[in-house]
Amino acid sequence: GVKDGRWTVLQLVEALGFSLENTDARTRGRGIQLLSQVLLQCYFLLQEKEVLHLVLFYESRLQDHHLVIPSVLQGLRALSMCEVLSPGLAVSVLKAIFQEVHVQSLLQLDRHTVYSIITNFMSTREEELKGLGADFTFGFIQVMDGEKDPRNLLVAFQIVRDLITKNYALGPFVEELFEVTSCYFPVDFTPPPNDPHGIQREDLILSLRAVLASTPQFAEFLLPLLIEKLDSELQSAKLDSLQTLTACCAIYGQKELQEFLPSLWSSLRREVFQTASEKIETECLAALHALSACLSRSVLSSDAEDLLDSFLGSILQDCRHHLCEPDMKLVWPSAKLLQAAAGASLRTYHCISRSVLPLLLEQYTKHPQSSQRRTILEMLLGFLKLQEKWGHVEEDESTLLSLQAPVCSVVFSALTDSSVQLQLVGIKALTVLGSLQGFLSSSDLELVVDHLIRLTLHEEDSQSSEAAMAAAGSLAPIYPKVFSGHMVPRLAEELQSEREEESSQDRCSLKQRCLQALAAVSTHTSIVRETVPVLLQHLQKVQKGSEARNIQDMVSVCQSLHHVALQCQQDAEGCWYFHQTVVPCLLAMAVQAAMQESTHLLLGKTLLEEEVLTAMIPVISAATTHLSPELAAQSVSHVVSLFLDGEVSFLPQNNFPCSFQPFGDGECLDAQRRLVALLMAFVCSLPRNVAIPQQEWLLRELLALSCSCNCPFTATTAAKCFAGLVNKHPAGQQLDEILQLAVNRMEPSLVDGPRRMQALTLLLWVTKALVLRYHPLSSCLTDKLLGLLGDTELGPAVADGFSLLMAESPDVLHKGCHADVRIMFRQRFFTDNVPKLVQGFHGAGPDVKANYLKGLSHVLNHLPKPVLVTELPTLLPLLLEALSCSDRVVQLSTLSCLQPLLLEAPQIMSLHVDTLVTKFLSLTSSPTMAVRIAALRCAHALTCLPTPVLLPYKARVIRALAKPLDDKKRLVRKEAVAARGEWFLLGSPGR
Amino acid sequence: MVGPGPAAPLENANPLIYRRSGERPVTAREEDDELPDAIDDREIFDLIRSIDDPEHPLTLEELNVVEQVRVKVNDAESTVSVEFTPTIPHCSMATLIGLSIKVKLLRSLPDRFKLDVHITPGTHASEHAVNKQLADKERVAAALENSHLLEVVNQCLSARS
Repeated sequence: GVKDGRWTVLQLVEALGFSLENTDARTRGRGIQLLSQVLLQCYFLLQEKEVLHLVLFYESRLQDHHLVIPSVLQGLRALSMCEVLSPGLAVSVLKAIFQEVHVQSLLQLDRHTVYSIITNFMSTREEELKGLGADFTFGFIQVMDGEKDPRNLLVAFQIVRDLITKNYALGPFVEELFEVTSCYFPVDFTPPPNDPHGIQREDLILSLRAVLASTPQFAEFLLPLLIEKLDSELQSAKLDSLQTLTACCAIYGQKELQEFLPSLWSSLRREVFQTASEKIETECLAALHALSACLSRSVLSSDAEDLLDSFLGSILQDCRHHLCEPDMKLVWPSAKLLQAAAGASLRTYHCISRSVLPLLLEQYTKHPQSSQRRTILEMLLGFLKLQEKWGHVEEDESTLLSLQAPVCSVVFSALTDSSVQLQLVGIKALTVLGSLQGFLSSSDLELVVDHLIRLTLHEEDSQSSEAAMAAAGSLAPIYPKVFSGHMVPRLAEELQSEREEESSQDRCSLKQRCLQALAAVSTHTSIVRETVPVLLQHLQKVQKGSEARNIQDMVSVCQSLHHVALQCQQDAEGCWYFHQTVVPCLLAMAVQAAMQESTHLLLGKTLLEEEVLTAMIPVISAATTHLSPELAAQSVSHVVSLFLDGEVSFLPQNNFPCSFQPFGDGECLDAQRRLVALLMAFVCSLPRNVAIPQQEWLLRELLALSCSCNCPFTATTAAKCFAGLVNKHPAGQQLDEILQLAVNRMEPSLVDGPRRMQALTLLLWVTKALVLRYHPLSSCLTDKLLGLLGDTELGPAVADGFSLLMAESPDVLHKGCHADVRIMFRQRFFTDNVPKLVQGFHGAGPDVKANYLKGLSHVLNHLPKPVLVTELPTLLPLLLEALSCSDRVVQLSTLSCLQPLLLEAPQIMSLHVDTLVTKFLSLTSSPTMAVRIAALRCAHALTCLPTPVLLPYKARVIRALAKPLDDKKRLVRKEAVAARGEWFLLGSPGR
Repeated sequence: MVGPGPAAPLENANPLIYRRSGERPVTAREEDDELPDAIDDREIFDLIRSIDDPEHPLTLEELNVVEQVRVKVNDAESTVSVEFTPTIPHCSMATLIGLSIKVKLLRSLPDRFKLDVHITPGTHASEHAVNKQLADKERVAAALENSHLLEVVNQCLSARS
């Protein structure tokens, strides 16, 4: 009644009068409880006067019987939320609570109420509360002293943090406030199982850390505590201390740290030198970094000593000499410590590099062994990378510049060393030096390029050669002139040379490297303009030749062109240049080859081989996906009219003996039809907003070709091209018509006749195109596929087709070529079709059952693991059945499906442990190596199940796994060793 | 045969470190379902090189306690011989290291192999005594009954996370 205004609070109080004044504490308690409940529901309706009286009433009740107190606190909580609370009342309520209530003897919920009252007042009456001065802080310290419940602690920590950050007066109670919070450090709390409150250890840690690291006033108490915990044995305490120290450094200054620097350093050093834990090492280095940054940042009073110098001095003193022993354990910990400090600020960098860089250079010359030199150079590289962080530095300040000559000579010597490992570090160092502006002189640069060319072309080890190419790629955009002027001509020359003295094997691999290097170095538009013509020219030359290796050579050129295309994509100018130059050229060469075939049967035919055309697809596709819509529109009109009208005028050499009509009738046109692959590469990669001229005509031609062509390559490509276009076609009548046309053509061919496979291929690709975009027709087509699983002739191909539906296809229908792909399509396909697959499996005859299992395992294999885990319980029986299926594809994909489930859903899986153990062990003797390996991996993954479930099987598994230890294949033995070793550790001490 | 407690200082705080050899590259032959691959020295070395030293967070390979040249296998005759070299001649861990190697091989090799694990001649003060313990089947079995010892051995054999 009070809520909707029919009653006033006064009337309520009067009505409750009897129970509120009753002498029996229980009755009084119930009365107050009712009043408090009402207030909690309608505190926002109260008048200022009413609030005043209620507050006075409740304050007086605080002295009442302990049974009444919880309800009184609830009432006060309601009142603390009133906006109309008169000034002064908040303070009086708090004083009363501090005075009358012994908070820590209350229950958890009631303590929480007290914290809520304080929090409410702090957020609305900050000024009044500050008027209380340090008394408020002291009152609160007493309230929270001894708190144990994690829920309350989170609130209490937040209050302390507000006290500090909002500048409440702490007065003489800084140490008390520190004590009352720091007693929880380091947090040791494990949430009970099935905890409904969801408070994690991490929540408490972060919340407490925020308190401890909130003020420099705590420093004198906190730092000794941190050092003490850092010296303890407990890993978690060490970690927490280190992270808290790092947090403190953000607000501390030299003054707070001064007294503790020596012990902090010795603890950090000891940990980094001794620890086995990477985590601890990382945190130690982060803390050292933070300390050095803090000291570098501190503003000094004029008479104070700069502690940074002495701090860095002690680091250098303790670590420097270890750098001279590149074989010993402490060399890396020392280098890391020095680098952590050096990375803190420009000042620390100068101070440390001034001492360390000359030392490392000297040590490099002193140690002649490659492995030692590698360690030294790796350390040097670490320091060079730090220099990169500061960018361009004043010349007179940089230590590095003064060492330019010796640094270069060390790096160059590494590049000519016989050890590949040392070369690799040298190449990395070279990349870093090159990226430091103005560090390398122009004569050095020429030397750098010479080294890179030598390593790229003539270094035997492929790792070095690849690294050199990558380095050339990252340096080329910084020095485009040097690379286009020196490296490109040398590579081009090498590519064209026909030296007789070498064996053909060597020459091939040399050409191969030239091609790769030309692509790698094409990272700047001006260089691309040099390399692309070289590559195209080479392609033409190979086409004219008649060597047996032509196919491989052409594929290599295409791979290089693809690499270049990818590097051009982000740059509009380079992208258009590439498209304009490469696409017409490739088309012209292909068209020419297709025409020539009718006259000279052998010459120039290799270009039309499936492998070569397949290699051209990514080139054209990558050259097209990033075009701007205007430029793409310009290009699309040329290409489409080439294929539909035989319009060849835009091709560079368009002097052809006969006309180009790939969609025409006639036996001799087989070669021309193959070029649909290039049409597909182009037209399916266009951005969706680019209109394709005469699209309906094109679609009809593609449809006809895919159904009627006898060549599987051409038919499949036409089907893919059709699907790629249908996927992007705007919805509407036109799309419906073309789809209807497709269904009408497919259906009769699927039933029987010589072109069942073609029809199935078309069905699969069209289904994929529609499934991806959630088109309503997709479910009808999918049902058709499900039906065909029971077909004895087509069934196995349909089952494999499910993998095509689910997998990312490399050339069409993926996000990169702007296809319409809904992100959840796999999940949706799963939910819609898996029940049907399961049903089909149960109803199928024995000869086709495997088809359903195979289809199912393809769907499951492509499903995101988290989805799979939630769907598992219903599918598990079927998967277990699939393990007994004799088809090894089904076995393999089922095993690869189960393995992650064992790791991620051990609880569910342990229900089936008996079956799993038996099936896995029996598959370890499969005749197929891949199945044996997968079965052993599963047997290994079984060890993730709860140990008590596994122990009854331990002896049996260990005995059974002895057999694959003697497998004839090494890769199987390796898995058996890993699995068996893990089973030995089960339930054994020290696991 | 008992290791020191966790608090004992390291006997050798700054030992020499050797580089780990990379993963054995998989050859085309190994991927061929039909052709058998014989068990060779490298395969045995791969079994033991990643065993952790009981003292340092380093592997036996990094400390050069085991080397591929000191591993000999004869697949046809089913024999394996491994020599290991303690980092210092008075290393109190020698027996423990030998035991770890032996246990790892017992768990990872087919039954048919006869194992011989011993200290590289002339590299340890009590070479003879240690070798004798390692060769004695009953003593090895008894040692593994001791749960403290088994714990240390298992720790050395656990794959590093």
